[in-house]
Amino acid sequence: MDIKAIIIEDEKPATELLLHYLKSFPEISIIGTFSDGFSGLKAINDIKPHLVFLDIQMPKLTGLEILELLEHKPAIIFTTAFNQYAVKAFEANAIDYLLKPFSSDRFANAVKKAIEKISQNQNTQPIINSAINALEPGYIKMERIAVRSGSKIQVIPVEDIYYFEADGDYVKLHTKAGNFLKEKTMKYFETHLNTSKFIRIHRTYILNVETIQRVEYYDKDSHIAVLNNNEKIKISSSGYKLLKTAINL
Amino acid sequence: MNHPFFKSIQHFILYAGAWIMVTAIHVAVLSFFYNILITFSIIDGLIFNILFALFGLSLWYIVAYSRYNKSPMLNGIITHVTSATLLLLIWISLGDFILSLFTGNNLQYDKFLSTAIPWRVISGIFYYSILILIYYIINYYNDLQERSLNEARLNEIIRTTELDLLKSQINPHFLFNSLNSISSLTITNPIKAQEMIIKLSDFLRYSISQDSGSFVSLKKEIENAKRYLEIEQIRFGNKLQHKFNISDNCLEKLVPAMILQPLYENAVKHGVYESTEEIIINTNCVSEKGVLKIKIINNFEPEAKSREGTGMGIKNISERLKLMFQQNNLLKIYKENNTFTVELQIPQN
Repeated sequence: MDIKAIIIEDEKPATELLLHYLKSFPEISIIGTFSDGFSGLKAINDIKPHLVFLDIQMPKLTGLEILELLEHKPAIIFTTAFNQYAVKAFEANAIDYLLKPFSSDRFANAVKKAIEKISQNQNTQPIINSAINALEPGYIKMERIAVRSGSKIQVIPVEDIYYFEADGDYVKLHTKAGNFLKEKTMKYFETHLNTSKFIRIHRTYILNVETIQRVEYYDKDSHIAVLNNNEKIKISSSGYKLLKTAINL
Repeated sequence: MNHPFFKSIQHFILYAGAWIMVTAIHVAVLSFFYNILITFSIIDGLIFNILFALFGLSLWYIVAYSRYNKSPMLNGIITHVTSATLLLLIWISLGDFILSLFTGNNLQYDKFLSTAIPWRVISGIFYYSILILIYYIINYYNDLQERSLNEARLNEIIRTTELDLLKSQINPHFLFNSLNSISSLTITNPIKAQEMIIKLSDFLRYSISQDSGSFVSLKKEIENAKRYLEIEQIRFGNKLQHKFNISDNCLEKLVPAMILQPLYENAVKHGVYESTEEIIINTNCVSEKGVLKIKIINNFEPEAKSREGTGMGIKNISERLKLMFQQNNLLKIYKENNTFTVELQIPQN
C-alpha cells in the first residue's frame, strides 16, 4: 500500500530530519512539506493524505488549532519540542507524538504504529478530540479561536467575541465579524476562557463582560443583559450571582 | 510626600503637645520674670506659639524638596536663611498685629512689646533650627527606610531573574528545538552542526555565568544577542534577519547583564515564530549626555494574533531597570502598524 504523507513544520532542519528518517520507509511518499498552519490545513483538506507529521508551534495556526478545523481526518504524528501539558494529554489518550529531538528508532516506532492504523482503516480522530478537550485549562491560554467560515479560516481574538451560545452539538460564537459555529462544548469554553472576562450567565450563554452596556431586571428570578449593540440576552439567577462577583455589581 | 506630623493622629498629638509645653514655658516666663498680667501672658503665648506651630508645619516642604535638589550645601544655607528671615518677619508682625487687637491700651504691656522684639527673634531662630533639625532627621530616616525597602525588592527580583534564567531566558522550547536542529544537521551538514553546538554552548555559558545584579560591557551583551539570533537563524533560515548599528563609543559602556537577551527573545517569539514573512530585527545604539540609548526594532505580521500574552519579559526588564537605577521610564515600547520598538535608556555614572 502506498501511503500519502505530508509534513507541516516551520523549521527547515526539522523538516530535513523527518525527510531523512522517512527514507527508510519506501511505502510512504511525501507529497509536500508546509511551513505554516494555514497552508498546512489547506493541504490536508486538498491532498487528503493518509498521514500527517504535525508540529505544534507554528505561525498562523498551531498544530492543535489545525486539528480542530480538519474536514479530512488523517492519521497524525505530532512533533513537539517542549510541551509538558500537551504531552500529558497525548499520553493519556494514546496519541502518537515525537519529542524533539528524537531518534530514528522512536521515529520508526511511531510511523509503524501509524501505518498499522491506516491499513486497518481506524479512525483516530475521536481520540484526538478528547485529548484536546482534556488539555489542562491554563495550557491553552485561550486568546484566540480558529473558525471556519465557508472555505475560509478565520482566527478570532477572544476579545472580539460578544457571547457564546449553545447550539445543539455546536457552540455559536457571536462576534464583531459575524456568527460562527464551533464543534465544542459550552463546558470546554467555560473552563478554558479567562473566567474574569467570560461568565456563564445562563445554561445557554457565556458572556464577554466587556460587551455589557447595562443589566436590566426582567422578572422574579432573572435579569437581562443589554449589550453594546443593543442585543438582549437572558441571565439566570445563578448566572446573575457569577456576574455580580465578576463585575462588582 | 507625606507630612510626618499628619501621618497619624499620634504624630500630630506629639507635635501639638510639644507646642503646648513651649507655650506653657512662654507664659510662665512672661508672668514671673517680666511681671506681665497672667491674661496677657496667656494671650501672648497662645498667639505667638500657635502661629509658629502653623508656620512650622509648612517648613517640612522646604526640607522634603531639598531631598530632590542635589545642589551643594551653600544652596541649602541660602534657602534656610531666606525662609527663616521671611518667617520671622511675618511671624512677629502678624503676632504683634493680632495682639494689639486684644490688648488695646495697656501701657505696661506696650512697653514690653517693643522691647520683646530681639527676644522674639532669638527664640524664633531657635524654634526654626530645632524644627528644621527634626525634619532633616525624619527625612534621613525615611530615605534610609526607602532604600532598604528598595534593596529588598531588588534582591527579590534578582532571585526571580536567576530562576528565569533557567526557566525562560534559556527557554526549554528554544533549547530543545535547537538540539533538534543540531540532530538534523549532524546528518545533512556536520560542519554546520559543530558550529551550532559551539554557538549554543557559548550562549548557555554566558547565560548561566552572569550574575543578574552585575554589569557587563554592551559589547558582551551584543555578542550574546548575536549568538542567540544566529542560532535562531539556523532554525528559521532567511525568515530571520538582523542588523546592528552601534556607535563605537557605546561598546565599552556598562549595562546590566542579561538585559538585552529577553528583548531579542521577545522579538523572535512575537515576530519570527508567528510570521511567514521575513522579520528584520534592527538594533541601534547611541550614547548621549551620559545616557546609553538602545533601540531594538522589529517588524511583525499584524494579522498574527499572538497566543500568549505579550510583554512579561519586557515588564520584568522594565522593573529591573527601575530598581537598579531608581528611575522610571527607562524602558519604552512603541507599537505602530507592523513595527514594534523597544527603547532602553541606561544611565552611565
